[in-house]
Amino acid sequence: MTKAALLSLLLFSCAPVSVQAQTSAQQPPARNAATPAAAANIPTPGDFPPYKPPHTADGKPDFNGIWQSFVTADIDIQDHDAQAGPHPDIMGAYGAWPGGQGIVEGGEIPYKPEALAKKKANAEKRMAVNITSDDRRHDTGDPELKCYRPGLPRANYLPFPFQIIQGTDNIMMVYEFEHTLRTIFMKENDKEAPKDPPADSWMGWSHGHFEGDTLVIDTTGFVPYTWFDRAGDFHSDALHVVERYTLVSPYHIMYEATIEDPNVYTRPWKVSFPLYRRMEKNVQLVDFDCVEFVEKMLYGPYYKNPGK
Amino acid sequence: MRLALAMAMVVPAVGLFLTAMPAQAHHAFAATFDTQKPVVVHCTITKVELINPHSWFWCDEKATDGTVVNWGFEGGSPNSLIRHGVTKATIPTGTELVIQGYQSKAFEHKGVGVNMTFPDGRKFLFGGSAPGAESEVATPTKDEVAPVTKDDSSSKK
Amino acid sequence: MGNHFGVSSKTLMIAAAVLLLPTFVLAQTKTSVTAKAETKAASAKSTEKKTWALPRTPDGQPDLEGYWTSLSFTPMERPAKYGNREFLTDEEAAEIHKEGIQHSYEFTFNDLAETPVYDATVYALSAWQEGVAPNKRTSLVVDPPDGTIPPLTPEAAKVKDAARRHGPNQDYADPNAPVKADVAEDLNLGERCLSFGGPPILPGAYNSNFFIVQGAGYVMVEYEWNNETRIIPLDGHPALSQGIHRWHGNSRGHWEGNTLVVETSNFRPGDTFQGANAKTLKITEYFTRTDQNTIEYKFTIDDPSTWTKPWSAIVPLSHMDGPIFEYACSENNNDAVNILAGARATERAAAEKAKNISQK
Repeated sequence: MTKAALLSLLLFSCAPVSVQAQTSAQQPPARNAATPAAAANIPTPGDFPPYKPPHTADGKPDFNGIWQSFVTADIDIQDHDAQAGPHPDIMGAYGAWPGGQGIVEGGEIPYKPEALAKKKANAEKRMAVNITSDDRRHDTGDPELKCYRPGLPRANYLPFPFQIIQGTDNIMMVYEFEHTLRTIFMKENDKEAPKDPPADSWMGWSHGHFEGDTLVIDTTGFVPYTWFDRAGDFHSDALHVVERYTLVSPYHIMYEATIEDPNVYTRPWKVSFPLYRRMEKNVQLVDFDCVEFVEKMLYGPYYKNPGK
Repeated sequence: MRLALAMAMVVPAVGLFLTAMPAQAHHAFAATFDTQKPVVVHCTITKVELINPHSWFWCDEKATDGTVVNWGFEGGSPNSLIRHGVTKATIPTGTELVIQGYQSKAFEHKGVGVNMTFPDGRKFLFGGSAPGAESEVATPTKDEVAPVTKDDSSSKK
Repeated sequence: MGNHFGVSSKTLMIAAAVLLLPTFVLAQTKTSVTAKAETKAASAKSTEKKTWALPRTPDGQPDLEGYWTSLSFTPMERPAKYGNREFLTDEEAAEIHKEGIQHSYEFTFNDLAETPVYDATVYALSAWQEGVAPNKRTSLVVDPPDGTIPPLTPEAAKVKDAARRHGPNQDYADPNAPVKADVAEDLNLGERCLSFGGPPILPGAYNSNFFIVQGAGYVMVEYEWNNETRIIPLDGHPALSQGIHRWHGNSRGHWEGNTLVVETSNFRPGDTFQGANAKTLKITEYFTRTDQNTIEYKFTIDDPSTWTKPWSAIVPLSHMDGPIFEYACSENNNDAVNILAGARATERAAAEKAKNISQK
């Protein structure tokens, strides 16, 4: 048994009754002693009792598994009502988008005034597609529509699962959406993991470390082309994202991301939401390689008979 | 056909084994660029895109009458460059290059960059390093890549 | 706007000048990279004699982690002159290695008149710049013992004849043939950034690189091209039904001693190895780390509706230095636009010419 595990065991065995060690049969604090629900011990949304996660063989909190969020932030990271979606005359309820509560702490994104105007312009043109063979192809429209890599933190709140594979020197995050891949370098001072991003990328250049049982990932080196949602929320290439992943139960990671971009916002701001462990028996990722679904949309103007 | 290009289902008996992808990429060049339209462009870098599947170099060419045309030249994947220490800072804006290539079939000012040198004839990045040379050509430093004076030495080969 | 210039003759002159310099063909001087490759091979040999301890992951699995290249000059099938000989002599291996490097170097310079292509050496994409390692095998195919792929079944032979060109009208035998590119589906899967193949792992011309990471109960194999990734669970859960198909099939793995055995099925029709039958194709792979810098990677192809019997090959995987940068293919797929637009420009030019002729 590692020293850390032994120490944890001693601490928790001496702890007051209300603090429990790592079992799944935990007693959550009562919501309100006066309500009938309290007697039934139903967990309170937002409250996770203290939890000590299992560790990997090399003594780190174990994040291996398949995870997914269940917020509607991909549509809009701020509070939003349900809406019709594109082409309701054909799509009906298939194409309508659900409403949901936002994930931005404090509720509002602290845009600079000129940046807020750009967000609104983005939203109006989110379905614009004008593909050229140069970087003007990224000038307009939501990249998600084109099946482009979603950037951060959007990849974590797309309605698709992702898998964490935790090695010692690298933690991999593999997303079902367009097989998006993140390599999180965990070794410091490694020539195979240069400190600074060599070039800009859609998912950024990530270095991670542990603070206790929290995985902290620091990412820079983003291209300026990704959006945070379909509502036009955007960033520049100065984007800096710091994520914190904390296992708060056998089935949940509490996720938060601090977003900083002095070109666009007046101050850093945060999003947070739980990630849920996918528990279907034999669950695995399948393919959502959406490029094949968008080719006509992207390249139609160059087809032999564009109208057809 | 000079090389045994691998089709999806046929592989060469000897020599460099090519999977389907690189052979098809080779073929894509013929579909995209025009062997009847070779060009030589003396220009200054405006943008370097270290992207996949092909890097792209955007470069302003100034005509004798002062008008400026921005060219785009396709290069190779930057992934091995990055492993050799090249970064987005290696090739600064304003770097002078002489690019020999072929124009694209569809766009007048896009092409494939076949032979890329500095005006003094030195090869760009790792170009020209032949196997068996005493040492690999080192990644040019930012100072080495800085713009040189504008005398026309494109005839130097 | 640019100066027009006889590229090919001058470039050939440069190439000739460079090649006539005392280079690898005659001299004993080595690049740091080829020297590295040869040192690797030599140290691999000497470590076989010492006791080499197979490294293990913290949870006790044989350690396959790291960056590996499948780049190799070894042909898939064995040239007839070697008969049943599985291995080359040291001299033969050195000669083939030298020839391979020469070929990959010439590819850059000598092909220009036929097909415009960028100079791979500029991007450190030539084989010796990417760290190709020598291989003592006469062929990748090891079973059947003569090193050749078994014959196709009669039905498969018919299908292959009909689909000789990959895609509707793309003739790879003639790089100057007109290309049919009416719609995106006329382009091949790589040009569309849809799939770059595998399993099995094979040598490619460049960026032929893989990254393996092992987590609890899973092995991840990432391919550099488009960062395409296979996740291999080790918990022995049942195979998927035929209701799900995947671009790289669906894999399950287990350890047999120090060898990772991976079984893959559920391939997508239209994207199978050498056009095999997605319904009946099964690929089994064996990963064994044989020294610090080598994984012996073997694959067995079993598709009774395509080949008359199963066959196997061994592809060396050699350690290389990472990292693997993001390969965001579709995001920057300028080629798809340029190919389609190029076909439209060619059609317009032909129509213009026909109009002019008819007006005369």
